[in-house]
Amino acid sequence: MKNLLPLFTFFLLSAASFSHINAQTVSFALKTTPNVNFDFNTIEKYQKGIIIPSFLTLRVESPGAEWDLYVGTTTTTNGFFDVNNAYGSSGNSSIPVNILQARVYNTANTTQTGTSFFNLSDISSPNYIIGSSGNDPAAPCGVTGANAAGSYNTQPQCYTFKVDLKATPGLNYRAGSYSLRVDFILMQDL
Amino acid sequence: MKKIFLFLAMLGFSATSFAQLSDEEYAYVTMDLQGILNLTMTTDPTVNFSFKSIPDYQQGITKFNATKLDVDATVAWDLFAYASTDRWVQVDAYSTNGTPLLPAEILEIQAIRPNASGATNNFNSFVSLKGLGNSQVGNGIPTVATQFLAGQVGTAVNQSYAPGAAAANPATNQFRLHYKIKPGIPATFPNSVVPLGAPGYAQAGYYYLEVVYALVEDL
Repeated sequence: MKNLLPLFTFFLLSAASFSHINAQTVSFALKTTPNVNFDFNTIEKYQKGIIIPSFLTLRVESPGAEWDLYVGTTTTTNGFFDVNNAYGSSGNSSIPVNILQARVYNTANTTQTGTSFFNLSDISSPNYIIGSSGNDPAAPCGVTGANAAGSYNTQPQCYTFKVDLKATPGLNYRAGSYSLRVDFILMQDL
Repeated sequence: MKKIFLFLAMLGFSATSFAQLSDEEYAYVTMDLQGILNLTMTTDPTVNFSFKSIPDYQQGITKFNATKLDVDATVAWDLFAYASTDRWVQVDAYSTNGTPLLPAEILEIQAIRPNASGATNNFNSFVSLKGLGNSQVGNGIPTVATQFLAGQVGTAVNQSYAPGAAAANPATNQFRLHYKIKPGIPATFPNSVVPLGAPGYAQAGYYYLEVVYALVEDL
């Protein structure tokens, strides 16, 4: 009986740990993984840029865990668009990803990036919308950087984010088709 | 030994339980940059010369800033000009003597800014506009004989103008052109690089000439 006691204790602790893990999840609900295309076919669009409003909605589900949210781009060459096709020979085809801007917001205005567009960068040096790469103090819903455990179901004003995208290439780049992937990462804040 | 095993098992489990939780959402973005070349004439496309006095014939008539052109481009570009025919088209004759065959070259054109690309055939000063044959523009493709307002034949560095918009780059993307015709008395058009045929002077009449401005990608 003495020999069984440690084993029994271990199983109890294991069960407790598992229930602890199961309560702590961070995830995006109702993902849509959109495809968007910027079609620059007039001088005015080149100069003023194109905005695709509300192209993505992020719904955060994070029961029991504080969380970080950041965004960055993924391309073959870090920091530059992938070239699908070149339509001409003049101009520079190395287009930095920072000609692409995002605006991420919720109705409680808790994002650290505010309500303005910010330039995107490679995922290796991402823009933090909520939190930072370090351990952040808990911030409740309603304050900037709100990262407390919660759900878009009960507090959509802090856990639901709309994303607008804007591209302003200017006139110096080679005509062609370009692409990249924008990654939104939701991570437990440790 | 059993205790050590249990301790290691607990440690291993503890390490697993601290794995950082995360989730990702991806958006795929494509961007289509289409090549755009816009040439806009902001002035009346019809320029009329009316020679009604002896001084008009002797001194000629100059139309300053007769044509204004704006270039908006997202690709490197060249701009050249030529007459669509070798001769002026006679609409009406007012006399029976003199030749009705007036070469396109009696029209002189000057651009207010010199061609920065160093093209040998240009409009940096008043110069006869070449007719279709002399300009050697075939199927819209220029040659070294073609007169360039901007850029020149070839794709080397400095043989074209850079992408840009007219509003933002007036020095390079806006063109103002002066036109000049000097008939002289008799109307031999002494400044023309192509002489008139026999009897050597023009027949009084009403003529027109079509001038082509071509904006092309520097290929």
